[in-house]
Amino acid sequence: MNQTEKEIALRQEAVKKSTEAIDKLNDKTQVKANLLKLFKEWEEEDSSDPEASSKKNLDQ
Amino acid sequence: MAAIRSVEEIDPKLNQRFILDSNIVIQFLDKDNLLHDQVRSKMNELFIAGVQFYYPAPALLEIKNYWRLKELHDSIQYAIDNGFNFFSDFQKHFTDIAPMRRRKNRYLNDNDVKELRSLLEKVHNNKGIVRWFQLCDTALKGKMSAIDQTLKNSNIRYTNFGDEEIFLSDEKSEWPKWGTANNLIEKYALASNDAAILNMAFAKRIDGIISNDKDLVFAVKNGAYPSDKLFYTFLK
Repeated sequence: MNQTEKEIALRQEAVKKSTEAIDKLNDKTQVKANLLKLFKEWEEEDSSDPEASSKKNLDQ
Repeated sequence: MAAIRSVEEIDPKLNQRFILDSNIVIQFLDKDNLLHDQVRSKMNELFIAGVQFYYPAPALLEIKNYWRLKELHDSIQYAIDNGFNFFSDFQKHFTDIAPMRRRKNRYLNDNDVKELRSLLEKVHNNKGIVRWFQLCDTALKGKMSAIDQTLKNSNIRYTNFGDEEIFLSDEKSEWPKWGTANNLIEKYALASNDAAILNMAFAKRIDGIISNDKDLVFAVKNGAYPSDKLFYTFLK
């Protein structure tokens, strides 16, 4: 492998690393799990709150 | 003045240097963006051929702001899609505006966020605002540093006025050229961020800039960027 080929191989490796980093940034698995946990906490809070009726949900 | 060319016309040369506008970096990073596949594929191809890409500080701020709005938008939408009901005025306003924003491949804007937050401020016992901050904390937690880390691990580099690779020593002493940036704002009514990013692309060691910003394309078409520089876009 000559110098040019070595440099190209290094850049290809950098692209691979870059692609992995972008995939990780876009992965929503954890944030979705955290959001669902938060929404559940809110729903439990509302169900035990007599003032929650003032929330006037759109589906009511 | 520089000609407006398609990125398909780039003839890549080893160590050719391009400044990336914030919209290009956003499209490069955001897999939900309609131009993501096209931008990422082309940039990777050019990088492997030896082209070097740089994003300046004003672009980084825009990227983070975009991601803030995207995460907030997606999180509220995710809640509604999963059957959770927010306070009614808040939910109605969001469901009125969100589809319009997405039809244009956009997310909530700053004014939308202010309006949504103000609707929560009216909820009794401060409950709306408490939940707003809980939502922000959950949706955005760690996201800004994740962007920093992603960019660090990507094949595009951060640059600023102290960058010795980009700015020749004689240039450094006279940089930042606020006169040039001010002129871009005054003559072409460019947004200050756009002007600051284009200003960086005036450096002698920079070959050109890649942008999908229609305002920038318009300004360059009308003489905002010199003819010895290159301007490329993915826009048709």
